[in-house]
Amino acid sequence: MSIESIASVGGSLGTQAVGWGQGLENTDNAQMTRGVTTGAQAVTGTTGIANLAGVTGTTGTGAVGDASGTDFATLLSGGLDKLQSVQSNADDLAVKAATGDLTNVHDYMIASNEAQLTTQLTVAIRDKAVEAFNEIMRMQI
Amino acid sequence: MSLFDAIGIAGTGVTVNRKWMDAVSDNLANINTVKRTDEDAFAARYVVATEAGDGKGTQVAGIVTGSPEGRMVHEPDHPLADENGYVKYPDIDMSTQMTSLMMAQRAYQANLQTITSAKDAYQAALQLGRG
Repeated sequence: MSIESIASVGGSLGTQAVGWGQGLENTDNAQMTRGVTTGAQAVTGTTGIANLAGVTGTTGTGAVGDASGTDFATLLSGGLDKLQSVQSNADDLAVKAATGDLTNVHDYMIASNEAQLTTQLTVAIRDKAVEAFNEIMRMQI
Repeated sequence: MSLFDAIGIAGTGVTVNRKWMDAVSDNLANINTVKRTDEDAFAARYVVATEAGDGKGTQVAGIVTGSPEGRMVHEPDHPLADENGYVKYPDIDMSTQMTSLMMAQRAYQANLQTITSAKDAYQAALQLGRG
């Protein structure tokens, strides 16, 4: 999705650049016109940015997601659901420990350990996703 | 549970060994429980462990009780003694029970160590994503 937005930004930039070049093309000064022509050519070259829309076509991420059957968003929300259930399980056992209804001490310790590990895993995945997004946002346009 | 199979399996081992320790403590607590000769003596409890139905870990299949026969001891001064001066003690051997207690305790600790190691391993795997 972010790649698409960048491609569209690139496309609009290309359009603006072309418009700028056309505006300059009407100048009387031959020297300027020539320069503008090269500029326009350069702009034409950069309409390659429009080809970046091809990036939209190659949203290979979607294709990859289709191939594996699940996309990243499904994976992430599934992980969050899992985290939710693991944490509520640990919470239930914590209440039992506090009220004296806990029959197995290790059950609570295992549940809290699982909750801790699942949280760490989710945080690690989130960090990676945000990092990847920021990396794309830092891309030179 | 599939993410933490090692921890879950070791957890079942901890549960079974805790129940074993419970049974041993029950036996030891009743080792001096005296009964009349016409009553059943305290029957020792033995935990029967079996592999879990889902193939992940172990579970307690049931508790088997020992013989209620007990052993006759001649204690004429005991308030529960019969006309011949006999009372009934449970047929429990303390050294056997203490050995079982040590085995249960060590197995309990081993399963806890498995949990700790598995947790350390998972955390080390998470470090792959850092930095």
